[in-house]
Amino acid sequence: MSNAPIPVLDLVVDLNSEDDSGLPWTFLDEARDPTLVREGAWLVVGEGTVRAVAQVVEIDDDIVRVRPLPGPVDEHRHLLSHRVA
Amino acid sequence: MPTGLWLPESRVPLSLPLGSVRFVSADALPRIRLARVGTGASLVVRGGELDPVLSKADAVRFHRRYPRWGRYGVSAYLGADDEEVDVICETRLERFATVAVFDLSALEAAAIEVVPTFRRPHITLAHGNLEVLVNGLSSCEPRILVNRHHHGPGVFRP
Repeated sequence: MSNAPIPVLDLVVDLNSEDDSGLPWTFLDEARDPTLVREGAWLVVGEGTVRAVAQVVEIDDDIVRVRPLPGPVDEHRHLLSHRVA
Repeated sequence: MPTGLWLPESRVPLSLPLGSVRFVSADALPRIRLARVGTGASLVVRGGELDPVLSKADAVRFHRRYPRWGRYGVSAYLGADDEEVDVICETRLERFATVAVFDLSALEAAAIEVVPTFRRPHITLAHGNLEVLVNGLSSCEPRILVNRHHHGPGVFRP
């Protein structure tokens, strides 16, 4: 087991889920900070101990669809610019 | 606003013959595929270790999204055998270090509906009662497998 810290979630998403779009989805109010959630933004998504970097593909009223990237979060940390002070 | 099941013409894929889609959802209904579950498939796989707290949260979120369907639901995938489960682990569940594998017959014995929703091989495990669904999933005692396609946690430096 790794002792690496688990990245803080930006958006709670069940990465098993999909809808008609074929993409995982959640509600906007599942975001840690809803102002981070905008189309094209890169976020840390997941649930429990599962994490992925994902791009917000679409915000449809209060439903957010994301496209997760393969690989560990660290591989894509350069995309998470909002985390940089 | 239409009531009941409906099929907006603008959302019917042109490549599909009429009759191949039972209905396309309004916002409050999930799309259910016409093909029946159980023909050649006997395993159901879901990423994660089946934490009841997370299962409940997912089921409530699904119910909130599709209230007119009247069921709580959690997403999973259907496979014919362990070989297909392994493909699902590689292509759909790579982000999960472990997966829970259920026998379809055990889910049905627990009165959990296995509904072919959205795109193959996605399914929804559903029940009208939240507690029955969550407790039923646990009572099925799924096999917990290590996902050999998982990339590992990596090292995150915030």
